[in-house]
Amino acid sequence: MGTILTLTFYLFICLFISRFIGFMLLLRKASGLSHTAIPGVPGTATAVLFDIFFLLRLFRTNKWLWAGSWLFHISFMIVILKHLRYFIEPVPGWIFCVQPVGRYAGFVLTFSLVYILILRFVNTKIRYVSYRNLFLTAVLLLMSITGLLMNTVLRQDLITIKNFMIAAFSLSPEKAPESAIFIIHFSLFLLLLPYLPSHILTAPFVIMDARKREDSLKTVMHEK
Amino acid sequence: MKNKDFFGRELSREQLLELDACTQCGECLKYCPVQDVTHNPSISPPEKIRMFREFIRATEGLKARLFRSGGIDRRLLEDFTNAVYECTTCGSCSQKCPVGIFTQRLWPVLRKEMVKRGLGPIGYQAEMPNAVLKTGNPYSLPPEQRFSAWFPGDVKLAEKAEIGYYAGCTGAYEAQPMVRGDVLVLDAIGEPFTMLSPEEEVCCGFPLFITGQHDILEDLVNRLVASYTEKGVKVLLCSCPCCVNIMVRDWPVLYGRKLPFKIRHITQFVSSALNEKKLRIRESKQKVIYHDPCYLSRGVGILQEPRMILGNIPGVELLEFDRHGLDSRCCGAGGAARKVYNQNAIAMGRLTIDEAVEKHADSLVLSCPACYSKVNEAMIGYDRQIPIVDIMELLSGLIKRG
Repeated sequence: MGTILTLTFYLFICLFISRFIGFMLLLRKASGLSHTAIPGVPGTATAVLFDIFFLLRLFRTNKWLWAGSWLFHISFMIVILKHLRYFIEPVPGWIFCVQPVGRYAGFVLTFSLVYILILRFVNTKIRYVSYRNLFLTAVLLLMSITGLLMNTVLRQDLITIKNFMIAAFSLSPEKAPESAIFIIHFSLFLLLLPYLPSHILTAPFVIMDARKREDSLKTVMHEK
Repeated sequence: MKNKDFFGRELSREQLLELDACTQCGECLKYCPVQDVTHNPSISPPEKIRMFREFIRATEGLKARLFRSGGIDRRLLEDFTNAVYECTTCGSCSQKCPVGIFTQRLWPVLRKEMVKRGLGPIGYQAEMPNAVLKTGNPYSLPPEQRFSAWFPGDVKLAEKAEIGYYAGCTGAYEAQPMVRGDVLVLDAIGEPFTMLSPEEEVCCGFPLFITGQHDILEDLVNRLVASYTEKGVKVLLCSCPCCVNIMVRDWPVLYGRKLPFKIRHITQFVSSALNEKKLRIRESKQKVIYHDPCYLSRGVGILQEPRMILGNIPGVELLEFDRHGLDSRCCGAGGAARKVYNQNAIAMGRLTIDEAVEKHADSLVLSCPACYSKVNEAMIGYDRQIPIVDIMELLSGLIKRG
């Protein structure tokens, strides 16, 4: 079981990396003209950081969805940081500091995903349903629920789990921990990998560009 | 170009990033005017982006690289082409996009990609390049009629002047009260201005740009820029938001360098003249509602000047649409879709009329020839009626002479 899980992990990591490389190659191929002759307005770094970190554009468009999305992104990031202790040895001090916050972030993550799903089904104004997004949300929700269960009622032997993970990372697969809930949790992660949206990497650049464009709109026709 | 070739060759790197950055959240659909009248999510912004991503994946993805791409189903491509041409390119989706994808720019480029593959444009749009080459306008109307039907006989043009005026094809052939109003107001301001001859004043290129047919754009722009330069123009005025848009955003790129003159929307020039007391306006007691054209507001950021002009007319009370300024709703005339998807455009125009009537406006003020033409058409046979007037048409009728 451990070998199968680890090999699947390698396969999906390779696919994930190839997707990234493929996108980089695409960027090299794109030869169209830049957006416009209007130069962007520099000097908006703080505004851009706010736009990206607080998802301000979404806030302006839909405050209800923003609340769920922002909590989801932040809690997901903290949960990922919390998980680093299972892959790194020795564990840096700052990762230990994240652990208590990470535990609460797990609850917030689950809550935010449930909230987003409810919002999608309750809000009749939403006319477009992305089945990929629904699938991703469902997988993330199941992951977060199994994670919470392991963190609360079904406590795990963390040393075995860590040994398994470190072995996987050092290319020497080991026996998987004998825990059904961990196997489910890890399998869900594997399922998530090929579907992981890359907008987390590209959206910040687009948000940055949008801010520059919107700031320059004031000067398009009003330059001296 | 075969349909196995890389989809996205026409895109810039920024636009490839934009395609990837779409989260498919669907928030934009709430603001899409085409969705308001068709209720068809398969032609919505996120669906178009999803489909285009699939095309890229089918030609450039890992599977396509390893096993050679088998091409893309033609029906899918045709569905996509229809979806991308049914859009009015109003840019509302961009305004509300949580990541800020510049769709007002992206859709025309996706159209260009479909043109290169022999799938676009649609219907009469395909005739536009030839029409422009033969007649100078996309409507195939005689160039000698470009100004004759509306140009006021008592207005004298300067042979050469620092101020130039470009009427534009839609204004000259389809919204004549608007361009007549422009010229009357410019004449009343009293500064000498010049125009090209009807044969020289050719299409600005916007209808070709927006339908993805870019082959003759450079030639058009070079001809126009050379003609205005020869006339000594330092400031080129125009009232058509679409023309203004391509002039400021793309003419410098197509011309290859900075333009030798500035581009100004007519409302900018006239609001300055009003501030400088170069125009005196009579009182007109009425409630007007002003519609922001998409390419004037979201396109080039002209929001205050039209309001300043209306605010300067004694007795005028200005009402606003629920969605105004940068959030304005398209009247249905944009994206060269109004003649191909006429029913959509009429339905969108009627939404604008409905709100203007519900707000008890005495007249609906527009500042775009395409809006003017389409909203007037939408009024034909409709049970709700409201006088439609262009902002310069309104102003020209209120000028105090002497």
